[in-house]
Amino acid sequence: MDKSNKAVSEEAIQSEWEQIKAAQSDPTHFRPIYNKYYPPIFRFVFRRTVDEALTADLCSQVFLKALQKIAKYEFKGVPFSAWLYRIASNEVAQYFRESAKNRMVSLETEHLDHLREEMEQEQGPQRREAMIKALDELRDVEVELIEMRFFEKRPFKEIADILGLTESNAKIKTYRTLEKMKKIILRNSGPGEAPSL
Amino acid sequence: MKNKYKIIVDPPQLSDEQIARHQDFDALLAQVQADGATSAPERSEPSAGRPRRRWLYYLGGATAAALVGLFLYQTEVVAPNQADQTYFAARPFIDPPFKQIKASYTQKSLDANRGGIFEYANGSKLIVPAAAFVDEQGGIVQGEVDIRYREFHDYVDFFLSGIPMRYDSAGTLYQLESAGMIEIYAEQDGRKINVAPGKEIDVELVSEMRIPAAERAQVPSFNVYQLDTEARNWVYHAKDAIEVVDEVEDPAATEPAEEADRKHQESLADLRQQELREIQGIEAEIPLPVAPVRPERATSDDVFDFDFNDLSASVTADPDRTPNELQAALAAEEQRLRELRQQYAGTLWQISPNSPDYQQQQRAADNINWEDMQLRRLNNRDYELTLISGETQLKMIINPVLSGADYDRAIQEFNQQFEVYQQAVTAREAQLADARARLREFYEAERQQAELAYREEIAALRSRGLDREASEKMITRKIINRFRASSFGIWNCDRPLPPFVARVKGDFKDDDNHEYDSHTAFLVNQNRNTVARFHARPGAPVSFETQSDNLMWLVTPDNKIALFRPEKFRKINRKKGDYTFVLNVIDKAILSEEYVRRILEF
Repeated sequence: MDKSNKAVSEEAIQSEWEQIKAAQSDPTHFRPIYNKYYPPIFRFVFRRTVDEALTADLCSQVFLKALQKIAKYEFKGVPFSAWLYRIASNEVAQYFRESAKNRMVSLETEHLDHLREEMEQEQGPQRREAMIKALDELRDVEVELIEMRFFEKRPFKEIADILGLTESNAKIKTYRTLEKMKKIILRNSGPGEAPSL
Repeated sequence: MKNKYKIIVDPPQLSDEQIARHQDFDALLAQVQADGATSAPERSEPSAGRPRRRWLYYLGGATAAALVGLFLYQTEVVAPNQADQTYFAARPFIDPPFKQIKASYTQKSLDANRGGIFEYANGSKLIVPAAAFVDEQGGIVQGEVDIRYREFHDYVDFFLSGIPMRYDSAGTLYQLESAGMIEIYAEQDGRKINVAPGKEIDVELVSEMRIPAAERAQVPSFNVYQLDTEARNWVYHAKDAIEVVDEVEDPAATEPAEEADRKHQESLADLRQQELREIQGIEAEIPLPVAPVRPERATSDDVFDFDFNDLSASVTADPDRTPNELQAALAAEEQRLRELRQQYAGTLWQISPNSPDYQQQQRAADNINWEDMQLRRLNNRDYELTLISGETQLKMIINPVLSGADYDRAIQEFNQQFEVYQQAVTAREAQLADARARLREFYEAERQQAELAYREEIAALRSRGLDREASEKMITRKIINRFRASSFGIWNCDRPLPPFVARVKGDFKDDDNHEYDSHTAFLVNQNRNTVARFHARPGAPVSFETQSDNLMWLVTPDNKIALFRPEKFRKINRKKGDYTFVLNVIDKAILSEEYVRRILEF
């Protein structure tokens, strides 16, 4: 998990806005922002591609687009990082759409266990298998919510900022997605069958 | 059911170092600046009679010079054409145009157990670690192995190799500009072997690079890519650690326009020197008035007076002086003393605060009867008084001071003298200002004359196509590309250029009226070390750059080269949108690389 997931203070957001304003008038002033966010954005993209070279290319596109559009960036009280993650998320989605390859979802075993606890599911390797199968039936935006919340441990506020939602809406959507996964698991386990352990 | 996502459980973790390898803000900035050119309106064609080239001179400055290099290939993305994709997909990915011409390998043998360092004729090096090879079954290779290595440096090398220089980065096509490319592999007993997992060969690839002179101070930013022949694309590996070794003597360095520019600058410098000398002469002719010295009031009771008649005239007994010279020096010294007596008659003196060690010296010199004393002027206010007794000397800095009515009278005189002095200074300044204005007017006219002559000379050179603005000048630098090859194959030190823009829709035929409706064509630009390969077909988008010369060619069905030369590129009217490229077939069989070089030289 990268360090950017900590809550961003108002003071830090304001200070960053000063840097952004400087970069809007002179792109060379974008350097400190780039240096600060390159590693977390790289890790964000890498988790969705698991390909270092591809990640480097996509990151180049992310920061290129950010710098090209920075003049139009308006401060709306949201951390700048959210804007960058949104661009990164779009780039990743666009890549997989155009290449017709399967989008990658990275998760650690412990995260799956956490997700299982949230879903009040039982333990066991087959249960994990069922959860992975359930993930595969989710829509892109639902997978994104699950991976940001449970696999990347992001606060709801940050998820909301990245996805352009309100915080409460992000929570509601996340828990609806968990409910959906539960139903999928139940359905996949067959009528009248108890979930296999 | 087909999976929608590929779930990776416990994916590999990246280290900070791995990420940092890809972090390059300067490259990003350069890319943004290059892309900035897309939003700029397309410049109009030069009107008749104007120079055919656009000169950085008009853009001005090193920054513009640095940026223009990136504008060479405009960035409007051309929609991939299905026919073009199909055409190239059906051809070999590495597609040498002449099967009979191949770059030869340099072969070296080494003991696989020990590894070794190989230095090649041009200074390139391969540093092979011990136990670096495995066979096809993954077993460590022992004993002697043969390393085979070759380099590709310029557009002719790239063309003849058939190696594509197009890079597909996440769906965006780039042309790769190379700072040097190598192919490397190894064999044992005729069987190919591989680099062992975890082992890397350090490569130091010596090459030359042409860059704008304005970018001389910058270390160029390039990446390292390996050719993936199965995926039919280049794979980014790392940043290229470039070391600039030196500047190569460039035969094109003394161009006519540069010589004219140098002479013009010298001429302007001469004029500036002449003007300065004349101003200094006038200033010397109108001497600066001497400012009166403000009298100083005695500030302590520790004042004294002395009889100037006690001062002795002394000169340094320089053995080189003739008796006459010594006599003259003594006479001058006596004259100086007489003037001092006259100037300071009745004046009091006090020890200057600039004589800090006086008290200490005085204590050491207690009870000495001074036999002689000398006075030396240090500045308008300070004098050095030397008291002498035999070999003993006491030096102090003293100031002339006044007290009471003497001071009042002296300050009154000073005020009057100072007023006169100020008037004299003002009058002198007015005289000098007139003189300076006259000189400035004269020399400005001279400068304009020189500028006019320079412009006429440049215009004459332009009309002959010989000018080249200094800021646009390209220089050649010798560099060493350093990277690590983790496997055998083709490695390239490159930087992606933005994709070409379709400037004209081209049709292609040769001077025998033979039409080319589906052929591989090649295009190079003088300032970029790459070769662009495209599908020559009716209506094919052809991009070229207008800042420097372009050359296009294709290989005819009977293995000859058909050329479209730079001078023809200059005559293309892009406003029409369509253009028929009439290529000139060189009617000779292609037998050697040398022959190809002669044909494609531009």
